[in-house]
Amino acid sequence: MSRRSLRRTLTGIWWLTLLFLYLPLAVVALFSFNAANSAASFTGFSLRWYERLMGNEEILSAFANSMILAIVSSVVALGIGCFIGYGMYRHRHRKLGWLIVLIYLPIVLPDIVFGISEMAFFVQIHRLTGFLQPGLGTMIIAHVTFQIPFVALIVYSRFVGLDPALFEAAKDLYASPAKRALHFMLPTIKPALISAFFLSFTLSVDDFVISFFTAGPESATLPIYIWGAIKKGVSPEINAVATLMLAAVAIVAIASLLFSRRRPV
Amino acid sequence: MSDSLTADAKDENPAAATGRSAPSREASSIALQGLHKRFGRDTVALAGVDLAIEPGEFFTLLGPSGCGKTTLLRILAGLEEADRGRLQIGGRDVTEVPPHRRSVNTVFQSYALFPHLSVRDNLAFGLKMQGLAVAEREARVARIAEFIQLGDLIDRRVDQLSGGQRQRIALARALVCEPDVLLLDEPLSALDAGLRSQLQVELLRVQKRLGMTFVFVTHDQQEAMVMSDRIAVLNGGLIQQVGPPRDVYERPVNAFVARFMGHDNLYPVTARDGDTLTTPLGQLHVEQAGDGALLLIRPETLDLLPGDVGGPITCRLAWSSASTAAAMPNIAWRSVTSRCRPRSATADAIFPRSMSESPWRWRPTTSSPWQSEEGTWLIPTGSPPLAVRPWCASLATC
Repeated sequence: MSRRSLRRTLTGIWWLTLLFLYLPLAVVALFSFNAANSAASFTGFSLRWYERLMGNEEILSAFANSMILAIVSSVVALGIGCFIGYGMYRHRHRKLGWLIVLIYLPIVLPDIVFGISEMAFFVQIHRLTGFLQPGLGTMIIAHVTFQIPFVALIVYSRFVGLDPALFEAAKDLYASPAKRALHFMLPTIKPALISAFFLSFTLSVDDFVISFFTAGPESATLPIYIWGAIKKGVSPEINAVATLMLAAVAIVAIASLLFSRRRPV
Repeated sequence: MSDSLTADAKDENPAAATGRSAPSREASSIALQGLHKRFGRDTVALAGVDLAIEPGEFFTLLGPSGCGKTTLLRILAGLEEADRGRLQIGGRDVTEVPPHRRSVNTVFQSYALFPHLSVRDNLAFGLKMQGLAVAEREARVARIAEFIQLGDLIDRRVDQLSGGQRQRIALARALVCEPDVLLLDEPLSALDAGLRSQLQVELLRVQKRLGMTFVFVTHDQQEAMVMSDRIAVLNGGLIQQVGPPRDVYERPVNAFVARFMGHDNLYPVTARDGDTLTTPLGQLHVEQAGDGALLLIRPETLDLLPGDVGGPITCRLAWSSASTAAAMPNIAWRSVTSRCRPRSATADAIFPRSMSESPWRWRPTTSSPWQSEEGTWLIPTGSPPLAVRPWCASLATC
């Protein structure tokens, strides 16, 4: 194969990849504006599905659940993950092999295995103690659990990228441990914390499998609602929900990207 | 108290700097007793260090990498804890005082400027942590910026600064806290030669004006010679010799110090009869010989004498580095190589007589009848073997 045709082939693959990635999304977005009731043909532009969406109590409550779940779990995961990330940095010279594997395992663990085991765990605890009835609470715990490794990893890599002498300079310049945390570490890792928050947020909004297994009857999130609704067929209303989610995630992702570009050093 | 910096900065007379009004800002002495430090099981960083540093001294810890000098500095800063031994600063035992409660500040080798803060906030960091009011902080930052002549650097971001600028900011950030002792960990090692000598002068100016105790770590003997009031040469976690630069240079106590101070002309003394030593160079008559088994010849004590040279020779010319020698009493050496003409070459022909009478000396190296493993010395034929003028006492082997 000549150099030129190789280059053409590669370019072709590139466009094909983009096509498979974004065409389905584009179709969903397009049909969410479809005036007709069918997914077969596009008859004209209309916002009626979005209006209908706004009147649908079920969707609105699913949306509220998704937001509460994403925000609360991200904040909690940020708090815990930040300490783990710092701990990993602080003790990086020790042999932490197994501990690190344990912390990172949720990243590679299949969601379905994780979801089922969380469910079984919560059910048992509920039966024994009466606490942790499946619902938003259990979902938040499950989400925090899988968000933590991402936060810890981001915070850790930010610390590793710093000159270790900075920590000593802070000590040397009269900062007590509490002041070091407040005036040196927090401001220094702030960009990392913000990207970690955005990532956790999108992971949570995205998640279906783990939410599905840990949800209660009242705590359906948007993905769970869509899953339920889709059994009756793909309605243009679902297209509208999907388009809104797409837009939300895209905005958060772009904001995160812009923010990480602007960060100094 | 806080005015001392301004007063000193405005007063060109260094004597005024030492006559400070506030007793709490008197320069502090440092006393180390039996400091031991070990990393892991096998790495001994300090193997029993005793040292007394005078108030207001520019004191240099000199040694090769891994000799323990940085560990010693870190113990002074409180960033490392000694396994054994005591440490006093200004007469107060601070062995167990954490770094943020010591009136000691450090200029780090990597400068360690906070990337999330502007230059101004970097300078104010230490004052803020000490709980000073905003107005006081701003006044002191402005004063130090004037003193170190930071100019418009003060409003820059840290990532907009060059290496030399960062170095000066790091110095200002440590000085603005007005510590009892300032520690400098190879602060100039990352800079190019020109900037380096400029900052050496700057550091000395600051130290003399403030009369503060400076402890300076370097592996560069020339830098140590130029800057220091006294030098401690370290090797293997032990202090080999402490003294003024000239002493350490001229009278090294052992072969390690001699080599480290730039002398490679060490010759074993195979036999001696009073002041006459038998060496690979031949029989030499010396004054004030010590008891050791090594002969050290300092290059600047050698003269090449007129006479006929039997072949092509390469001369290495060594001289005091003019710029620093003019400002400092200490010696700094540099060398160039120049080719001499064969056959007819004599000292008089190569260099005008006036030059040999200047403080410049030169030492020749080439293949010659007298060749040793350590270095070769050209001895012009038909002249007395070697004119060794007052020379360093012979050394104990080590």
